[in-house]
Amino acid sequence: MAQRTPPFARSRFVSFDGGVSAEGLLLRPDRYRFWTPSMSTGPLIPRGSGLSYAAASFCGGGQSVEHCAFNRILDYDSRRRVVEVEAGIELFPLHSFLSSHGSYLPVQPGHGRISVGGCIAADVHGKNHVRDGTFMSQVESLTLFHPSHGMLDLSREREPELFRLTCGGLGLTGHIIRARLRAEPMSSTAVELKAVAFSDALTGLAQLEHAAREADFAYTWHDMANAAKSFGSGYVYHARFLRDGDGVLSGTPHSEPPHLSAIGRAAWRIPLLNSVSVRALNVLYRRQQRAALAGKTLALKDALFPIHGVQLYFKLFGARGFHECQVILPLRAMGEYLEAIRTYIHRRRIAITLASAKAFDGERELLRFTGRGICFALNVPRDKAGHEFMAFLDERVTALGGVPNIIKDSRLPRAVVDACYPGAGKFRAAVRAFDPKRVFRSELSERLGL
Amino acid sequence: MRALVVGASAGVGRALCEALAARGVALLLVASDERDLGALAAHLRLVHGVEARSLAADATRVAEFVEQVGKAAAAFGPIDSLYFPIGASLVEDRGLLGIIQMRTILDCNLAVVIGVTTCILPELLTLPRANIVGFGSIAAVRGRKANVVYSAAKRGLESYFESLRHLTANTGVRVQFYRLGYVATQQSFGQRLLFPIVTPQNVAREVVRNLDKDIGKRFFPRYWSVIAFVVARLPWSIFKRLDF
Repeated sequence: MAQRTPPFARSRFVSFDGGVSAEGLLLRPDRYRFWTPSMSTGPLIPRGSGLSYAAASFCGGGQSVEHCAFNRILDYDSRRRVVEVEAGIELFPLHSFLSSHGSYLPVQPGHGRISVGGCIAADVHGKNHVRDGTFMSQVESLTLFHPSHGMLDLSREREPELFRLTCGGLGLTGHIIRARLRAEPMSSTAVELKAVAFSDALTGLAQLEHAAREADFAYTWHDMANAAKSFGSGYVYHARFLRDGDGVLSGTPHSEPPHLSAIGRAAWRIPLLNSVSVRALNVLYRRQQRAALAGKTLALKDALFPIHGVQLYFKLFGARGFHECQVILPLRAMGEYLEAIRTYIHRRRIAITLASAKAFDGERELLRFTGRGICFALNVPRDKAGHEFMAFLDERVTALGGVPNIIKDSRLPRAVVDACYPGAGKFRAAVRAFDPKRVFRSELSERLGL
Repeated sequence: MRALVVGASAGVGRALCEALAARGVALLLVASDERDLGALAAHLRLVHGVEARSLAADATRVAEFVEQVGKAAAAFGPIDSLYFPIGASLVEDRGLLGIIQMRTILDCNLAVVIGVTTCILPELLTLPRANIVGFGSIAAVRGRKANVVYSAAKRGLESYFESLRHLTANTGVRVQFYRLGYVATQQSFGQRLLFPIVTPQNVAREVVRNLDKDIGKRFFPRYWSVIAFVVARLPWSIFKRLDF
């Protein structure tokens, strides 16, 4: 059914962490004629699945342009394992397609509902950053649309600066319409996941660095529910592809991932996570790890998208939501950082509901969340105490030479970003040079003055 | 199984193409924009492994459109099913449209469907089993001050499919007509609607599920039959006061 101009819906948008909400217009184009050069002055912002923790895909009074109808697979070069997709495609159907051709994308975030365009714009990381880098490392080229510039083909060879600005550009250079992604051979549809317990966090992080060099996936889980002796203890997980025939998996390999949205996450009004319930949940979690301690076989999709099975966790925060603080710190600074956290929660009742780490490597550039060190993530409920704790972590991370993840924290102040990202000024200048009218804006970009 | 889908690139048409391709049906896709068609055809070939060709044609030029579709269909090979999820509406369609806009609505909703069907029907009549599926709208249940020409075109289409079904009775051609309620397309996006909305995928599943049945004319979702019954019989003294 055709109409001449795409209609819009007045919508209330919420960041996935529940921290920011705003009214704006939602557009959901489904035809290529929408991408027509115009004199639009915005504010516009692309929107993928709307799952960013920060408010990256909406702006009060702005127009969020949803890409969900542009979700097709356009080409596949089986020799080079390069797939061309429209950027609205979600990771899970793309994984299903690639796996049927014996390929997979090594860098993928933990939920299959996230869109490829969102992954590029946030330049997300996967399960082994040391080996695989960020999402950008598997992007060969992309097609960008800006109302003032039309369609632009970008790659490392063609418009390399704009390509690098767009990958990790938070949607501020325009709409990513298509992308060519380089996949890797998938040696098996299953991985063997093994957990190794550690009694203190620094031991675990040292083991993590080693595991990241050896394994296909590597990460840790830490118990930080209280400041007692067990603070920071946990497991380092490392997973390797099974060789063909090593294990047989049952179940449906391509069953649809559960629906996930910021509105759905906030469906329960009352938060159920607090310092008492978190301790109980951690005891339960430890019990569940017995199989992993012995080594267990896991479908690749379950290893790539672990949040499918535990997304109830996000609902437990209730309507108020949660904070996530994800930072990269040098390994040598981790001891001081963790001790600061332990001391802080010893004085105040802060429920750290999740603590997890990955090993990172790579060069910092612009606003990309990368660099050498340990990527350490914490979740706490969104309340006054949680907010104060996040401000405390801002100060510690800045002092220790760390980098906070912009896309994971909807309240991150501009001063912290400017102090931690030497490339922030260059990013601002480059975006303004490309888009002097600043057509593309989000709550995130307004907050950080991008 | 080889099908022609007119109005294939978005909404119900696109969902229908996906559902048919998932059943292994080879598809000839027709819509106005080559970019949309190319993307869909490539996707269907890659994901479902079916033959998918496309034709970009302008439905407001009926004679040319029918000729182009006829040629493309001949080149595509024997077709056994026609689907017409094509349509066009304008928010300005409140009784005072200019002649060009009026013709656009009539041509896109009615004339091209008749033209293409007439072109391919002789071939379908030679087959032991064939399908022709049309899509109407609840807007055609009773004329009102909104969607004036659109409703007229859809009611005309309904009449055409009644005739087509009568014409093909005792042949292998099965004629089906869906009177669609609210469907989540660009046409309904952002509107406040009184009743629940279904997705294009819901419609496509229903169509594919009923392909072997002689259902004739049907509302989808089915509860619209009750609403239509009431609306059609509302006393004029009440109906004239309704603002919808």
